[in-house]
Amino acid sequence: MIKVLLKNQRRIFVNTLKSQNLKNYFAYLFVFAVLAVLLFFVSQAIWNIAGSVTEPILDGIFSFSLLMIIGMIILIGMPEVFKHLYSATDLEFLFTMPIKTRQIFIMKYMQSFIGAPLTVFLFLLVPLTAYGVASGANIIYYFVLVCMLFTAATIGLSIAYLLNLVVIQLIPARRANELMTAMTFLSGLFVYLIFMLPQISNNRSLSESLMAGLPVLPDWVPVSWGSDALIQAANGSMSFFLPMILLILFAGVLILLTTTLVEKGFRTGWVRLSEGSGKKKKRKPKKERAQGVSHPVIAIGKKEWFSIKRDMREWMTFLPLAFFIVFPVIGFFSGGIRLSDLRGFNDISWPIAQGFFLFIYALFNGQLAAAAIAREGLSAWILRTLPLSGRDIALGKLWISWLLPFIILTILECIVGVFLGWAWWQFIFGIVVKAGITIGISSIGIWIGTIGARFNPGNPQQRLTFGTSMFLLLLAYVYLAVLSIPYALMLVPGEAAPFVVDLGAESSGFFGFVFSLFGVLLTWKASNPVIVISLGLLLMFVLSIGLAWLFLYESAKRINRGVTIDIVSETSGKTLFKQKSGKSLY
Amino acid sequence: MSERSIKILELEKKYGNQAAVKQINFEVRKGELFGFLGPNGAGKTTTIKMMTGLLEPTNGTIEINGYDIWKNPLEAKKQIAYVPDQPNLYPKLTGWEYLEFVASVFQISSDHFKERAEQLLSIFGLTDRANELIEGYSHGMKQKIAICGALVHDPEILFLDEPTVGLDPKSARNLKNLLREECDKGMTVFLTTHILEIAEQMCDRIGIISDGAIIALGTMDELREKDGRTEGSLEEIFLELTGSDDQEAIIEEMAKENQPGGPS
Repeated sequence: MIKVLLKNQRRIFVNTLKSQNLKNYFAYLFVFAVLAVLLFFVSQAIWNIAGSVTEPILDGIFSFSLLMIIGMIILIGMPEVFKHLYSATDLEFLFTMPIKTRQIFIMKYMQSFIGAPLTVFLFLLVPLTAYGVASGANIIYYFVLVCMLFTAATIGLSIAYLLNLVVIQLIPARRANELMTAMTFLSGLFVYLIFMLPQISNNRSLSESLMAGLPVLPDWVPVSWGSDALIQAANGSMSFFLPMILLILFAGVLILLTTTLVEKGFRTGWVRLSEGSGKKKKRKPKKERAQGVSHPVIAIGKKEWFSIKRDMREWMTFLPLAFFIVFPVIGFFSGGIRLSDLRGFNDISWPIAQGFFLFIYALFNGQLAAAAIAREGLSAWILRTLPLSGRDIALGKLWISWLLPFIILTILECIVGVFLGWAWWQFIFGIVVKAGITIGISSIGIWIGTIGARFNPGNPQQRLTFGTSMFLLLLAYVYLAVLSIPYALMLVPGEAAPFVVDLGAESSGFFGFVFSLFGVLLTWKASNPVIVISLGLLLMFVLSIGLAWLFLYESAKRINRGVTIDIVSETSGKTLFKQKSGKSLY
Repeated sequence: MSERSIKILELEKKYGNQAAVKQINFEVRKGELFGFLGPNGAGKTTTIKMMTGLLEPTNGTIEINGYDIWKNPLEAKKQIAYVPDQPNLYPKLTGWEYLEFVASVFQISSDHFKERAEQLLSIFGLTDRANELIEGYSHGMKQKIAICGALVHDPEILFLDEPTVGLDPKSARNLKNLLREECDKGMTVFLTTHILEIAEQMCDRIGIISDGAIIALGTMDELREKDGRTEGSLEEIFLELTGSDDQEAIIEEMAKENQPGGPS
C-alpha cells in the first residue's frame, strides 16, 4: 500500500513540475544557481583550510554541522509537518479509503524528507565531501558521512513530528493553526538556545569554542557520537562503528516514539481539528450592537484591524521585536550594567534610541502595509464589486498599517525614555518626527503590496513574493537613509561641526562628499540653530509627505487597474492560480 | 417594466483561442427577475463575473443602469450587489461587522442600516449568530450573510450566482419570496441557477447559455413556443435545447442492460 501511496505522490510531484509555467522554471533555476554558487564558495573555503584543520576543531565543526541539521529541520519542519499531518487537503480523501493510518503516516513522513531535510542534507554533504577529498580522508568517511547526515536529518524530522503529535493533543483544536505559528516561534527559541548552550555553559561563544578547539558540546550529546564516528572514519579507523550505531539507534528510538503516537496524535488530532473549525468561538450576543456606519476609508481600516486583532498569526510580524529589543536588553543587563549607569546621558541615549527606533520602523511599517493588500486573499471579490476607488482602498489600508506599529513602538519608546530619564521635549519631538517619517515607509509598503501580493491561507505572514519583499526592505532603508540626513542634522549638535568637517577632508569619494556637506550644514547649525532645525524639519516632512503621496497615488492607480494576488495552496506552497483581475479595483 | 437595467452587447470572453463566452447580446428590464441557465461550463459564471466587474471582457460592453461597468466602474458598482456561489467573506469579521462594513462603503445612514440589517438577519434566521465570527459559519450561513450584505444597501440590481446552493429549505423559500417582493418594488435580479424549478417558478424571463452562446431567451411561454410546445416543463425544454437527450438515451440504454434478463 505504501508503494501505491508513494507512486501517487511521485505522480503528483511530476505533474506539478510539468504544469509549471516558464517563469517558475526560471525562478527555480535562479534559486538553484544561487545555492550552487553559495555551495561552491563554502566548499572552496573548506577545501583551502582542510589541510590546516586540527582534529579538535574538526570535532567541533562536525558536531556543529549535525546540530545545525537537526536545528534547521526542527525550525523549518515544524509548520511543514503540521501542514502534512493536519491541513493537507488529501487527508479527508485518504481517511475514507481502506488504508491504515500508519501507512498514510509513513507516506507523509517520507514525503517530508523532500523539502527542508533534503536541502539541509545536500547543503552539508557537498562541503563535507569537499573536505574529505581535500584532506585525503579514508573511503569509509564518505559512507559514514552520508549515514550520519541522513541520521541527523531523521532525528530533526522525528523531533518535528513528535512535537506536532504531542502539541496537537494539548491545545484546543480551534486555536491549532494559530498556536502552531507560536510553536514555530518557540521552536526557533529552542534552536536559538541550543546554539547558545556553549556560551551559557562555559561563557564562550560557539565560534570561540570552535576555533579554540575546545569541545562544543558534552560527550553525552548524540551529535558528538556522530562527530566521533566521522573523525574515526576519516582516519580509516574502524572505531567509527560504535558511535555511528549509537546515533542510528538514537534516531531509531525517536522514530519508534513518533510512530507510537500515530493513532492518537495523527488521526485523532486531524479529526479534532476538522471538528474544531465548526466550533468557533460563540460570543454572547451584545445588547448594543456596533458603533455604526463610518466613512469608507475608516471602514476599510477597521476591517483590517479586526482581521489583525483576531488572528494571532498576524502578530507574528512583530515577533522580531523580541529579538531586537528583549534579547539585547537581557544581554545588556546580564553583562552587569545597571540602569542608573545609563540615566542622565540624554544627549547620547536619545539620538541612539531615535536611530534604533527608525530602523525598527523601517522593518515593520513596510511589511505590515505590504501585507494589507494580500490580506484580501480569497475575499478580494468583495472590494472589487463594491464602489470603492483605488485611492479609498489604499488610504484605508495605509492609515491602519501606519497606526499600529506607531502605537506599539511609541509605547515602547516612552517606556525606554522614562527609564533613561529623557526630557519632555525629547519625547514629543521624537514621536512627532517619527510619525511623519514613517508615513512614507508605510505607503512604500502599500505600493509594494500591489506589485507582489501573495496569499497563503495557512500562513498569513507570507503576504509578499520573495523578490518583492527583498525590494521592499531595500526601498525602506534607502528611504530611511535619505530621510535620516535632515533628521541627523537636527540630532547632531552644532558643536560637532569641526569634527565632521575634518572627517570630510580626510575621506574621499562619496563618503567624503557626504561628510563635507554635513560639515557645512552643521557649521550653519552652530551659528543659526533655530533656522537650520526648522529647515531640516520642513525638508523632512516635505520629503516624507511628498513620497507618501507619490506612492499612494501609484498604489491607487495600480489598484484601479487591478492587482494580481497569488493564491498559494496550503499543502504544497505552490501557486495554485493567479487571481488576475481586470481594470477595476482588485 | 420597460426601463432597461442591464444591457449586454457583443460580450465576448476568450482564453487564448478558446471562447468561453461568444458575443452574446441581451437586456434585462428594471424590476425583472432574470434567470440565467446553462449546463456546467457553459459560461454562466464567466458572464456574471464580467457583469460585476470581476473579469474583463475580451470584447463587448456591459451597461448597468446606463453606466459601462468598465468605463465608469464606481458609478456602475453603486447600482449593484453580487453574491458569488462560493462566498469567501472576511473570516475574522462577525456577521454584523461585515454588514456594517458594506453599509459604510455605501454610506447608508446608521438608522436605516440598523433597521434593514435587523430585518434581513431576522428573515434568514441569523439574528442570534450575527455577533459570531464568519469563520465559524457553515456554508449556508455564509451564503445567507452574503445575501444580507448584498441587500442591506438596497441595490438597484442584484446579481446572484447559484443563490440557493447550501440553503436550507426554509431559507431558500424566504429568499425566493424576498426576491419576488424586491423585484415587485423595482429591484432587478439577475440569477444563475441549476435548479430549474426555481427558475420556472420565480423568473420573469429566462436566458439559456450553452457552450458560450445564448441559445434561448424569453418568458416561459416564449421558450415553449420556440420549442414548438404548448406545455412542458423548463426541464424538458432545457434538456432538449442543451442537447442532453442523447445522454439521457444512453443512461436509459445502460439501465436496460443492467436489468435482469436484459441484453448483456
